Amino acid sequence: MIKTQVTVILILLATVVGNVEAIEQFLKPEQFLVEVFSENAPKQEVLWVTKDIAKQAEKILGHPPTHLRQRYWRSNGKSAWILDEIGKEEPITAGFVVSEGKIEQVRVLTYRESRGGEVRYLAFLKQYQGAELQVNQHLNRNIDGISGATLSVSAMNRMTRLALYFDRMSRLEKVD
Amino acid sequence: MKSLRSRIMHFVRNWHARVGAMAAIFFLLLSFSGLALNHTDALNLAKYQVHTNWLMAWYGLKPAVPVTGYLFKNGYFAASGERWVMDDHVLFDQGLSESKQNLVGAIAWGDMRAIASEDNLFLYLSDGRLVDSISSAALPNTPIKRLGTINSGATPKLVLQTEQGSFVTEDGLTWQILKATKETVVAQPVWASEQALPLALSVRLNRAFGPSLSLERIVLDLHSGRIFGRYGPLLMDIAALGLIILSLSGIWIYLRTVRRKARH
Repeated sequence: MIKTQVTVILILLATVVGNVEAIEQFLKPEQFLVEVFSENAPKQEVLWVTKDIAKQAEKILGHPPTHLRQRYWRSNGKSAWILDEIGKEEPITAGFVVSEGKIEQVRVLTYRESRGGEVRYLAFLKQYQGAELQVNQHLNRNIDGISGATLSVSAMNRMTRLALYFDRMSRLEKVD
Repeated sequence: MKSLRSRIMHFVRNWHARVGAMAAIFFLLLSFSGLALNHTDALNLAKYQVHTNWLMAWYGLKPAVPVTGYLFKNGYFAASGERWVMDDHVLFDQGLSESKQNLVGAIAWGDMRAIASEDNLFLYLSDGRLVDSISSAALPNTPIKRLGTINSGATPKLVLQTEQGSFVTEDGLTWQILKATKETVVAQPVWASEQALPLALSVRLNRAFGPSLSLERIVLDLHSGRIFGRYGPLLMDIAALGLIILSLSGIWIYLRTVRRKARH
C-alpha cells in the first residue's frame, strides 16, 4: 500500500517537474533479472537473427526485427527476454520469462506513451501466464484488451509471441 | 420596374454565386486537408517525410549539416541534433530519443561500427543494419567517456572509457577491466576522435542532412492556413466567414423559392 502511494507521489512529482514525454520506468532491466533469477543472474547469451528467423519475426511483428542480435538470459530451464516494440509512437520495453515453451511471467519495464499505460498492471499481464505459441505463430489464447490501450495491448501481444518464438529458436540452436 | 423584393433576391443570388466562386478554392483545400487529417493514421501522414527544397525554404528551414564527424577507412559517421547518418544511411531521425543523446564517438570495430552515447552502445554493420543496442544495464559502467579499439590481438577489441576505468570486450557481451600494465603499452587503444569532415563529402552530407517535415505537419498547416504565413489563419477565417454567408444566403434563396412555388 505504502509502495503504491510512494509510486503515485513519485509519478505526480515527475509530472510536476515537467516530464513532458511521460517516460516511466517501472522496473530496471537488472531488477527484472533479479526478480527472475534471484541474485545469480546467468551470463547473457545471444540469438542471431538469421534470415529465416527474421522472416518469421517479421510475420509476428508486422515489420522487420530491429536487431540482428538478440541478447537473452537462460538458467534452470527458464529464459528471460527484454524486448522493445512501438505501441503508437514510442517503444514499450517489456520483460518476458519463458519456461518449457510457455510464458511464465510478463513485466512492463518502461512505458513511454502518454496513454495506454494500463498494460503494466499485473491484472492485465496475468493473462499471458501459460500462453503458448501455436503453429501459426499466434498465442493459444485470447487476451482481453483494454479500451483506450488497444495499440499498447497489441504491441504486448506481438512481443509475447516474439519472446516465445525466440525462445523456441534459441533452444533449437542449443540442440544443433 | 422590378419590385424591391425581386431586386434583393437578384442581389443575394449574385453575391451568393460570387462568394461561392471566390471561396471555392479555400473550401476544397479545407475539405481535402480535413479529410486527410481525419484519417492521418490510415494514410500514414506522420511517417511520410517531405524533403522538397522550395517547401523547406518556404518554412525557413536550412540543412543542419555537421562539419565534424567520425571517419572510417571507407566511410563516415556524422550526427546533427536530430539525425544520425552513416555512409548516407539515416540511422536515426526526428529528434534523438533518450538513448541517443550525448554522442560520445564512433569507431570501426572489426566488420562492425560502434557508436556510443553516454549511456548506450550501438553496433551497426557497414550497410546500416543494427546488430545490437546495448543500454547502460548491460554495460560495465556509464557514462561512457571515450570509445576506442585495440587491434593488436587476433580479435579486435572494443574499449569503453568510464570514470571507473576502461573496460574491454571482444563481443559486446562480456567486459573486462583494462588494466594498465606494462603490456598494455603495446596495446594502447585507439580512441574515436571527432574530425573535420572532408569537403568531398559535402554534397552527400547536404542530401543526408537536408531538412524534412512530416506530411502531417504540412497538411495541418494547410488546413489551419499557417502555411501561408502570419496572415494565413486570417485568410482561413475570411474563408470561414464566406462559408457562413453562403450558408445563410443559400437558406434564404431556398426558402424564397419554396414559398414562391407554394404561392403559385
